[in-house]
Amino acid sequence: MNYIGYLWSTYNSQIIQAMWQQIYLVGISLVCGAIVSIPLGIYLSKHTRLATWVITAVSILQTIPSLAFFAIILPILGIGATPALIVLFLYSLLPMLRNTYTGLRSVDPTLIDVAKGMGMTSFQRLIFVELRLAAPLIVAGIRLSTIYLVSWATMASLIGAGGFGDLIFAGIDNYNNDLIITGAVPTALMAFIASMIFTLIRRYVTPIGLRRA
Amino acid sequence: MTVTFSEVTKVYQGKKPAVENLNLEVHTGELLVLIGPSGCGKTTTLRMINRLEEPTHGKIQIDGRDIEKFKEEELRRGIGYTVQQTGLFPHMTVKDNIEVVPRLLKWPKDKRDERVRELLAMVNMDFEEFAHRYPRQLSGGQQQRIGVLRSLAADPPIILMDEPFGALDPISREVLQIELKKLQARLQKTIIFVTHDIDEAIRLGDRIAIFQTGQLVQLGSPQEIVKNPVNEFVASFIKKNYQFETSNLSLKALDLASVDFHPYESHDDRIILSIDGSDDFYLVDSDHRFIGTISKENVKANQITADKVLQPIRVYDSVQNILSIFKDVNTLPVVDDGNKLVGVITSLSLMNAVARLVGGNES
Amino acid sequence: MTVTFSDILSASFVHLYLSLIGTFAGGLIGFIVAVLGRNHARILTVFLTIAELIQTFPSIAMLALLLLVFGLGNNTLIVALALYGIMPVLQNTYEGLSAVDPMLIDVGRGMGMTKRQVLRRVELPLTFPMILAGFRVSLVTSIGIATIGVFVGSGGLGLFIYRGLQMLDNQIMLEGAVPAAILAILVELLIGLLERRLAKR
Repeated sequence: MNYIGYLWSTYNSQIIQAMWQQIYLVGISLVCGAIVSIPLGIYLSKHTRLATWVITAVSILQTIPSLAFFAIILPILGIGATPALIVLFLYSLLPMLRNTYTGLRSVDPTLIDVAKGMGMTSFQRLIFVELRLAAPLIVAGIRLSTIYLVSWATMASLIGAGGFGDLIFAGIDNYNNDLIITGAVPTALMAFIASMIFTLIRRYVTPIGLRRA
Repeated sequence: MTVTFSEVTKVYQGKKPAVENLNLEVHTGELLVLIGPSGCGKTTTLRMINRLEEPTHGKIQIDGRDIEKFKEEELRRGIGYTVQQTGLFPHMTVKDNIEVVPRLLKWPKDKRDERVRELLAMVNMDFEEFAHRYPRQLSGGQQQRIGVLRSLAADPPIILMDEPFGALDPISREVLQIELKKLQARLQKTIIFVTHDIDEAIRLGDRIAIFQTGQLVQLGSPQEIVKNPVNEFVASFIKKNYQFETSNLSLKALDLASVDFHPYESHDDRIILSIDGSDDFYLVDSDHRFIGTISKENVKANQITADKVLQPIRVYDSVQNILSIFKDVNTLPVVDDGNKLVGVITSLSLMNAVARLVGGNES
Repeated sequence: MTVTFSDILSASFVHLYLSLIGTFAGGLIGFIVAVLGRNHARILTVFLTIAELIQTFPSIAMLALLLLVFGLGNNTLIVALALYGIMPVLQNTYEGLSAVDPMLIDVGRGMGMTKRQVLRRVELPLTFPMILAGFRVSLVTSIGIATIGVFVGSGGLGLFIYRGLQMLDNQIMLEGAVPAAILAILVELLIGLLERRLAKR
């Protein structure tokens, strides 16, 4: 307890600043990523031939190591928060896109047929049937994206975007264990908390009729 | 309402026609069964009525009006639709499922509530018990009942049923067939019913349309078709699927039985049931297997052992058999192959069965 | 200071080598846990939860904390890679094993195989494609994390990126970044291809 108190009293202003920077990086890129990837996933679920190509392309993008990605972007876009946000945004796409697509594709075709046969418009089908049933998987995708983003946003410190990475890298460079812990532990906590929040949301959006007894 | 097919052909690209030059009129208030082997075009025919498939050529009319003239969604909201795997939405309760079309039609809440109660009552399902359950919490037979009720919800004049009982075990299927007949006798809807089971077709259909590779090969009442199959295909189709009995009535034990049990009380793993038209009580175990009958006096005296051992009869026993036994007893329990009690033949249920045969209506 | 092609090549080999060691170590743990725990749902749930938590741990934070224990050098990186490598293989092996048709197991037993023989001759061969898929995911992740191993003193392509960043030399940076990206994509595509071959059989 004393040690934590000591770290807090020594580094509190840096922790708070890093936390806000990290939340900013993760939040903005997550929201933008969701705005693009979820509607795109919906669109692709209706255009499966195109879907194969797009998902393959995005998977390959995803394969690129994050540090390598930052390094490739740096000469093009320079340093700072904006290039970092662009990289993070691109990275956040795949989990959400893939889960939205898979979630919608795995809805029982009989249900879609029946919904159609009962006179729902395609929009009503999407809202009342397909998205309701795919919601747990979509939220699982958002959760994955968030976890990845927390991790990659830490790397964004290297191109001058701030965040907990600043503390960690400074700690490593200066052999300062306190600083390493001060950076690494909150980063991990942030990932755990985000993961828990989305696990809860996932439970909440799972239709009662589909929850495990 | 009538449904008329005029020279309707449906071709899927690069394939033989699924339906070829179909001319057919479905009369108001009749139950028309479409039957044939898989791939014969029966389901395609059904699905063209609510425009889930569009005909390649020809015209389909409802009461003389071309269905192309309707807005797709509005047409479908006016036509009931039930499918084999129930198609119940797993994320909606029984009530929400039944209410789908009324909601699309923007019925007020009171009217929807009342309608759900009314429909559940029709199949003797208690509103309080079932309305808020999810499909997963129902048995296969109950799910399919809800599927049928859902298609009736907005009181559409026309109902399309695509093998609605196909996935059920034989007993539940028979029970539901009987229920459907009762409902139809009361509601007089125009029902188009797809099946591949000739037994079911003969049992349910006012008329039967037999399809073979996209062609309508014979159309007629069950009796006509059984007596005068128009060609070898129809004859073999009937024979293969349906062993014709001495009487051309396809009645079997279950058709004569009352199936409306009322749970009276339960003791440990035994359940006592009563049924209209019989003074006796029926004792079954927790799996609904028949143990025996108990007289009213013994039940009141709390003597929960079977005091009469009536030999039950099987669901598929023929009418002749039953009548010969029934001379000597007042009631006759009916069990399935697993010895589960599925109905009881009483004088009342016999009379009802005769009434159904003669008038198609029930008191 | 210039980087020659052979420098890049040897760094790539080191990179792949470190990634493979870590992935194999983690995969082996995951595999063993899945096989031993396949009939013990509770134990398996505990392991899956732990592995899932590790998966959630941001990689640079993990490396930094392990650095405090294992010190500068390849060891820290390999331990981290092994930890991350548990989950994909564990989960896929477990799911693969539970997806094996019980009838096939019955048939195997009926022919007189022991439980162990059924596992070796029936269950594992059927599960292999899933295990391979887990291994692929794990290896691609490892290649990514190995690039940042340079911060805890390990070798590999991350070294060029790090140097490039420090010297603000784009060329050196790209000489690390581009091969690392290619390596990851190649592994993804090649193992993916192998999986599809297997699936066809």
